[in-house]
Amino acid sequence: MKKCGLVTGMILLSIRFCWSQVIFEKPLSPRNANYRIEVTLDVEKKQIQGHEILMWRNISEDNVHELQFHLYMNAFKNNQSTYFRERGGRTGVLGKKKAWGWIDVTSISVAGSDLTDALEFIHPDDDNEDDQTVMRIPLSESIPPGQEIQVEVDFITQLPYVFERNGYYKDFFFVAQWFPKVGVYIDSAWNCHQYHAVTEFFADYGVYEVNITIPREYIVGATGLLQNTTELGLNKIHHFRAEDVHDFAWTAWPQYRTFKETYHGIDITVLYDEDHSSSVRRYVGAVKNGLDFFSEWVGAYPYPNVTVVDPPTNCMAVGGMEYPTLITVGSYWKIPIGIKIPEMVTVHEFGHNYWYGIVGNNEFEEAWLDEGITSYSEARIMNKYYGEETSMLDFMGIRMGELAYHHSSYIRVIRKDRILRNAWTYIGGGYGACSYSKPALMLWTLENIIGRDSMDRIMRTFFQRWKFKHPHSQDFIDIVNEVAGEDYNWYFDQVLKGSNELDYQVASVWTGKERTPKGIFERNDEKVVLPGASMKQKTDKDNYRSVIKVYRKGEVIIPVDVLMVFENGDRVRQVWDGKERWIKYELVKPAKLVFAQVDPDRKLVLDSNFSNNSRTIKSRRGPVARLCTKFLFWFETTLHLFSFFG
Amino acid sequence: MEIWTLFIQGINRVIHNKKMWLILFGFQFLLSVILIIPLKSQLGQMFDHSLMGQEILQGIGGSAFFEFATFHSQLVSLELVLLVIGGLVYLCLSIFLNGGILGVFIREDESFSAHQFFENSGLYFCRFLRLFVFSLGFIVVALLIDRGLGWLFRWIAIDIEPLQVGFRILRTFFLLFLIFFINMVFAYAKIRTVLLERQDMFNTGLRSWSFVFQHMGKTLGLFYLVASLGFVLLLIYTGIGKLIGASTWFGIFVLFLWQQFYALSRIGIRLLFHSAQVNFYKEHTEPYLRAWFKEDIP
Repeated sequence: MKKCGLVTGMILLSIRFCWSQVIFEKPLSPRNANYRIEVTLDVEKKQIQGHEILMWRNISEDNVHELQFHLYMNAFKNNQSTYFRERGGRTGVLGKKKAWGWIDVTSISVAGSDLTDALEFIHPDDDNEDDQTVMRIPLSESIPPGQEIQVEVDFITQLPYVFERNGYYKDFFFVAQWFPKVGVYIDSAWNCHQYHAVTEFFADYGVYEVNITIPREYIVGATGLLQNTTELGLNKIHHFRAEDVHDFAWTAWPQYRTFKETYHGIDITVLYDEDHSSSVRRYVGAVKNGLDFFSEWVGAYPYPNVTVVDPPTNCMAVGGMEYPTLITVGSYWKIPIGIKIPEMVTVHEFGHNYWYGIVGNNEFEEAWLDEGITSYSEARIMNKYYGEETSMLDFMGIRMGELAYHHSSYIRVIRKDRILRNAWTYIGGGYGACSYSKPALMLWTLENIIGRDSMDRIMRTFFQRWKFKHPHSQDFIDIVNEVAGEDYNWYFDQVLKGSNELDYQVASVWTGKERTPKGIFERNDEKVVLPGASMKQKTDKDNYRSVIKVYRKGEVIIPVDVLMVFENGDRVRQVWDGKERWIKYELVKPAKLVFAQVDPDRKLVLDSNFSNNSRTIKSRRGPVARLCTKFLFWFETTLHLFSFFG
Repeated sequence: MEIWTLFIQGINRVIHNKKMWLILFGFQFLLSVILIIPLKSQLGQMFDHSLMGQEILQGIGGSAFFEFATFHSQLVSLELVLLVIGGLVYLCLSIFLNGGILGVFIREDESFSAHQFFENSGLYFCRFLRLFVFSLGFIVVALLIDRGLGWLFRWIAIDIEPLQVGFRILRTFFLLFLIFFINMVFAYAKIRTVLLERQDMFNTGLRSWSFVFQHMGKTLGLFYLVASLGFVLLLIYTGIGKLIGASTWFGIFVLFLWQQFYALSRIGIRLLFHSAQVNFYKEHTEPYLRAWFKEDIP
């Protein structure tokens, strides 16, 4: 009976695969890595049994002699993996609960030849013999250019306790980076990095057909479209198909609530925890804003759907992550509307469907191309729809916009590191600021320099030209140069490839009455004696000499505006190229100087110190007085609290 | 005597001793000004001649705050350390001054004398310090109870966020209740020390527990009546404070006055606690205990 059931099931599966509904009439991507995966989730053991058929096509010009695969889940196998070594050996909840994660390839065959015994683990990044996140299969026959081969893999994946975007918590499952994923053969070599503490992922595009067998009470969400669901005893088989994607993640939980809405032909599904129901509308609103903005800005969202997964309580480790057509967000019960975390995370992760999902950069080597560009996109969207001063926070009188947020993140790491480097090689604590905030500010500054229209054309060109491909940083720079019509390598050399600081300062200002001539002068070939004006004499024609010194404190050189404002309302604006270390302006005007300001329009948001961008002639003690008044009261309150215990 | 009457009497006694009130306020104000000096200097250097000050005046200054905290991180750390040290110094000062305060309220027939005030402060300081250390043990117990409750609530509400939030609020209020309760008990211990010239602080502390439990309703009622007044003042302060636009010199001055007025009233509430509790204690112990301890009083 069991055998009959199994055979029936397999027949049904085969029929199901054949009856998959094609999503796109024509492929959008090269589709050189296509997967068919049958997976069964053992909810008691928290384990996945999988059978994978990979159709891999060699799209390079080389004969390929081996295959390399990512086995990401092995990063959570023990504390000696590269991932945990880079975390200082801190295994967190995995070590405490001894609920490790791993993946075992039990068999692998290529074009019908069993190569299980040839499997070996390699360590292209750090020679860590204990790390098993990259597997290599040497081939008996090389794969010539253009040829496709079939790889069959049987594997078992043990899910970890919910940790680092993955895992289980009681009967909740989020399953990501769970199957053997072939690396990318590019630039005549395999690009298949180990899983590091701060790196993400890189893979080729293809079609994913995945059958997930799971107990029937589970509600399942995944990358792609649900094709059909079949009952199989106490289980259900959920058949998903995703086209032109480079990853596949899925989730299952019996207690998911579901919300669906269609917006401009895109199906939006939210799988959420009932405790977060007040955030559902916020998620959907943010997705709609993202869809509207991106469609107008760079191009239409090509997929038919997007799934938003709101993790339940105690599962926030899987929140805030992107997968093709599926994003994870995060919220809390009755989170106030002024705390914009649900919107910000949703907008950011949705943005990744463009930058990472559709424009498939290498997140190991050039993380800024997705994180930085997405952060910049997020800032544009949040400022547009939620207010520039309140796009992050507007709660109990405290307001914060995207600029303040990214600026505060960036100024903590100003000279620590450059943006462009392998993600796992950033100096400690540098990944976040150097991949997210600094690139976002870099692009924001570029937008201010060349104008929004030009920037929009650059982003649109970059998206259209590199969608479903793997761009490098230089490809982006080339497009900037092309669209702007000027060479901006000087800009990227400094701020992308360098770790120098951008900081302009108005170092000093002075204004004083212009001295009237006094002494012996040559006038019309005659010597004349001029007495000068007495102190008591007042004329209508008093002039004032003002001297302004502007200093370039940082090493980054960018032309900058200098504004000088006078008491009579006169405004003088000059452009300084910033090449010298300083510049001095001397102006004679009928009025005194009031203040001088460098970058008055705050175009250079990469400037590390806004407060030294201006200098007034007269000190304005009001702001400090106000701050001191507040601080004085806070100190008094603190002391009063201490006295309570006495 | 009804607690309301004791409450009103307490207010009258506090108002009657305005000099003492101002002395206490003066200490707090002076210490706060000392703490702010290093901060003011650096803030001035950064913002006195910067247009960013305008953002601060308008209440926007997010970037200003982060820049200051980042570029002056050592100063910020130093200020925090100074604040803690200042707090501990002020705590000791409060323990010291409590003797003077209670002396004034107990000897109600005498007019305020600064000399007498500080003499009493010195007289009872060591004893009050011992009481403070003794009370710390109870605070630790309260914190352990709180921790235990936290574990229990987490176990009950492990996957239910609304319950988690509700329990957290409940737990916070319960911890505050315990700490206020311990504070109240030891306030009576200090009163007993001064009133009956007690030397044995351990015994005095325990007897105060007994006293409070014997008069639980009234002691709690009186305590929370005074606390309610403090809460009302806080509401008034916050409500009116929001209306003060501190973007001009006049506005800043008004804000300063209003804040100091509130700080002064806060100290008044502290004095009211002492005053009302002294009256209550005297009403419920003085007549027969004075006879009982007659031989013991030095």
